[in-house]
Amino acid sequence: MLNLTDSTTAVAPDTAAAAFEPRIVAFVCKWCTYAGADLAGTSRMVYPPNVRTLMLPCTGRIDTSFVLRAFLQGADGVLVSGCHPGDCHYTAGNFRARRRWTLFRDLLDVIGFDLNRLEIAWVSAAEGAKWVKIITEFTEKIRNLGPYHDMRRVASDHVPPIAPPAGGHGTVVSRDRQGAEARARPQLHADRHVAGGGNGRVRAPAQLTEAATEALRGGKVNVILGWVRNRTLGQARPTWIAQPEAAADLVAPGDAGNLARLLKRPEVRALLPAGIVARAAEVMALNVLAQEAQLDPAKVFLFVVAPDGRYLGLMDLAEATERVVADNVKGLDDDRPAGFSDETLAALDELMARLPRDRWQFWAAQFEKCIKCYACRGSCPLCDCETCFADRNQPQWFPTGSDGPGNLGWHVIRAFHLAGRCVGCGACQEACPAGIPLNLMGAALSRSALRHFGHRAGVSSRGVPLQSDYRTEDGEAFIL
Amino acid sequence: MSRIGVFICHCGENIGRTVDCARVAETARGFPGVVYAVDYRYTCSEPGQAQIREAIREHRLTGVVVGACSPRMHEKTFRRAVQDAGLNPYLCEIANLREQCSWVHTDRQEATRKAIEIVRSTVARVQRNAPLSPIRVPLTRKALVIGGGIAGIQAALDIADGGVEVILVERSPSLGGHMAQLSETFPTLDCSQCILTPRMVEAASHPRIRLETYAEVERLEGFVGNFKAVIRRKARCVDVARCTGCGSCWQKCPQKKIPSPFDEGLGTRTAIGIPFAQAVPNKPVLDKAHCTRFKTGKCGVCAKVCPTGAIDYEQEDELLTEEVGAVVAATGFQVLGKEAFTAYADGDDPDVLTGLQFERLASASGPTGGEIRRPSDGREPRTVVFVQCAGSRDPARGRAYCSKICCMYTAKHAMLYRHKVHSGRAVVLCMDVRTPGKGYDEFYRRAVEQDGVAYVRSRAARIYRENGQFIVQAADTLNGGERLDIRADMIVLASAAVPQPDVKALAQKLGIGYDADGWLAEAHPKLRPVETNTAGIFLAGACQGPKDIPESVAQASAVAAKVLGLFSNRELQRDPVVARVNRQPPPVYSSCIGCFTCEAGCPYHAIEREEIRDRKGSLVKTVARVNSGLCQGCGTCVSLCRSKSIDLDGFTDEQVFAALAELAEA
Repeated sequence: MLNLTDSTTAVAPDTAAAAFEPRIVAFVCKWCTYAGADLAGTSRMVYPPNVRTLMLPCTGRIDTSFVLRAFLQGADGVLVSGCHPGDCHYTAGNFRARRRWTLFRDLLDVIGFDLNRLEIAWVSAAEGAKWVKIITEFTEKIRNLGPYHDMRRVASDHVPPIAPPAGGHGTVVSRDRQGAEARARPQLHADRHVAGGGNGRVRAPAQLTEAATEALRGGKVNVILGWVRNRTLGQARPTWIAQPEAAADLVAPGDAGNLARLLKRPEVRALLPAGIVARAAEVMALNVLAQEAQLDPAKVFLFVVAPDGRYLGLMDLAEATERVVADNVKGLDDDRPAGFSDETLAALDELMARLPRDRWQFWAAQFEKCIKCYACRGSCPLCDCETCFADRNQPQWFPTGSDGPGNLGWHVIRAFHLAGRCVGCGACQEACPAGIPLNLMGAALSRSALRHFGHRAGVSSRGVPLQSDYRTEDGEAFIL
Repeated sequence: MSRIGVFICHCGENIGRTVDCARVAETARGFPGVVYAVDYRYTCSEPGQAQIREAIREHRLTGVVVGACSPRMHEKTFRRAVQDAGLNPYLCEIANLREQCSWVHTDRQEATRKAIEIVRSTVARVQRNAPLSPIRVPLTRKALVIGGGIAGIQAALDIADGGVEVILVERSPSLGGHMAQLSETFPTLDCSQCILTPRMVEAASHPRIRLETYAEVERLEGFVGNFKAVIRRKARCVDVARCTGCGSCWQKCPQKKIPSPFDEGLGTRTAIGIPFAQAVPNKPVLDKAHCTRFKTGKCGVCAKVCPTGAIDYEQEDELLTEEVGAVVAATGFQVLGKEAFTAYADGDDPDVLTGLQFERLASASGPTGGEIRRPSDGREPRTVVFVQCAGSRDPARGRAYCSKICCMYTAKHAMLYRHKVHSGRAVVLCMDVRTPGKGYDEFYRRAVEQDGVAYVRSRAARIYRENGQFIVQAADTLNGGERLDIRADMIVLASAAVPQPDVKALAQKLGIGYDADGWLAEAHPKLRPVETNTAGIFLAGACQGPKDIPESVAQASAVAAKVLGLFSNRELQRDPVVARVNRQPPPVYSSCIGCFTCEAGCPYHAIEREEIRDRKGSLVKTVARVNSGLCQGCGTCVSLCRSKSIDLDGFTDEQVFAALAELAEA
């Protein structure tokens, strides 16, 4: 029944536009909007029959994936509606929903989705007339916009096949450039974090090596996460060492990846307390992990390395945050999320300056390249679920195939799962063998979190997760 | 294999007029999983319900879809019918074909098409419904009332009279609250203590009320029916079992000049003593901050004079843990102090009084024995200006709301002053006079007409001293804004009622909400005025907003009805729509990784942390668990969960996806 993988057959021909009847799916809460829609009926008001309502207890229950899925399955427009702020039957479900949709809309905007097709409204149990007005106007709006196929088709007839990878490791940039140039699109580079050279030939600072040896020998830590030289490929490779003698093999941090990801491994966790060679990217990731109860800050010791490769000393998480994150963040202006490189943010600005249609085409071409290897997931220190939603089949959250809809579903939901958490280390896009600029989605969501909620991920190990929290005065300009 | 029955109701003409019900039923017969479909004129009627019951038995249905009116109308009816036929009621779903289809559309063909799609979607959903049973939660039949003012006393008495044990906790040394401070009460002018103290004694001597005065609630854990409260019994330095309340200790106490909080600072008290003569319990408390022995180590007179040896300087705070099933917050209010009004004689003039101070002045048990005298020089004031709305209806000074009680008590104050000082002049500056209430307007008219109180519609712009007298700058706004400079000897501010200063800490302790002004939040302003959003916690009296005595008492009795209603059950039954965190066999245990994003996002604090341990007892992981006694089923946690380890019974992701697939696809 859920035939989502076939991206070609389900699409109605455009010639049917004349007789086009929009299909609108409305996700509504049980207490306010559903009752308001009932009131419209009891009052015998009339509105177009294009809307199909799906009732849930609260807007807090409405998963952003539901909306994505509605579009993937053929909806031309989607409405999300619930109680006005302050009226929530469950006190504050709608406040959290408001944050969720603020962020999700910004994500959809980055990928060039036409936000006219997603309406969000507060409709109380007394507002039958408002319900009628919204449905009538929204139906008309969608009728004018025409049928929606983009998500199921996710472009790509216009995009040439993926250029084959042009080499081994260390050539990610050129590979990406090659792909991009082949499509004559402006370049959106992968981030480069060069801290001491990524070729694995630069030894780790002597003090670091000494401190690491000492920490292992003295039993302060059982394991150290660091970089060693991968002799075959000739680059710095993340690994963990448990023998004091092995500390001599440590090299300067590589230019890709985030060591904090190794903490996902049960065999590493079993060895805590751990030392970790930490740049700002690691420190920030560790803060998020600590905030989400995935890490006891007392069980990590950080061998902190400055951006220029200098060894700053052995610190706990709070001190490391103060040394390599806090100052950095203080200098940032209000529109600048922490952790992301200038290049990424410039690329984001450039992308956002384009028309939505062009953004959609850009991402369609990018998603087209995805081979669903899940390297992005594996490399991300914060993609830490033991069972990923992508691996669930009851229900299946998005089409599993490595095609347009399947790839779009994966990347959009994954990006959203990192909303308010992504620290911009760029490990995902460094890991991506297809050269998809994944960090752009992270940057867009981080900027959204900062603009709307003043939230910066990874700058503290305390605080409530962004989407769990709310303020009554959070903005809602986009809500009807 | 699903065996779904579909029942399409015509609702007389209501659905049938616009929707071709027969065609809907006929089409439904072809849907996957449907074994039986029929249309009927009135499915909610007894024959209609009988049709459902028979079909369940005859066709061995595993699920039922009724296409009829809104589920808000008859879902319960149909689920009961399904249950009567031996099927789990949660295997019945309603397709709303009336309020959201036939009544709002005119085109028969379009409406029929929509109806078919709604039914198809509901059929897909019901196939993924799971049988659910009401959640049963055991119950401790004991109530905790926090606050021993009139609201708390009334609630405790009513609950105890209903046969339930009550613990009444009051943080000051005596019951009584603000009402005990009042001189006389509007609109009857009966003496406040005369009507209150019998209630205080009744509460103290009730066999089912346990009094904990000079005690505070330290912590509250648990959920409706199953709270665990930790109460701090503060050290009185007096063994209450030995103390007879004879009074020797406070008569001999050398520290006599301590400002009395009960007299609002106008009178004095001793370091050991009871706050007022009728205090309940009649057991003194030693104030360590002012006691000479605790300050210098050289005194101990009270211990020497105590005939029963009840003084115990070494006494320490005790922590008591009590299990209760319901909690009543009756923590009351405060009034804005005069220091908030810097324009009125710099906010620190002794002859500018708050309404509560004037009550003490007018009270027969007060510092002047009921005579109206200026605190500064003890002289009788010739002119008193009463300033209404001092801080109320005044967002500039932070309180936008009307404090509700001030119009009436100002009329009372002016009246009392005129009764006591016959030649005195009483001037009231008011914005409006609001007197809704039985006998209230008559009372105010009496102040004006019989007692000659002058009401001027004005606010006091500034009050300052000139040659020993006050000059009150005002403008008669009903008389062309004529500038008035009123000479006065005493000023009484009807200062705003404000929440207790530590109300937010209390709200956090109890896990309940408060509004922007700091009043504790009721669950619904109209329909659930005495409940909070946390099941099992109720509100009585002015902690929820300014209230006069009759309202506080009425609300307290309403709370008692709610508590007794709750306790009328042997156990609690809850709707089974609650969230669940998945559990799997070892070594996985659960796909939950314990990030607790859900915990912070739950409006009901229903997410708990569960430590999973292996056989040897070592910790495998800490995962989330939903306390189904607390969960209200909003599903916010489900959407917050990234690993999709939480689901909501009755609205599972699978159900939503199945329904959505049918709705979104043309």
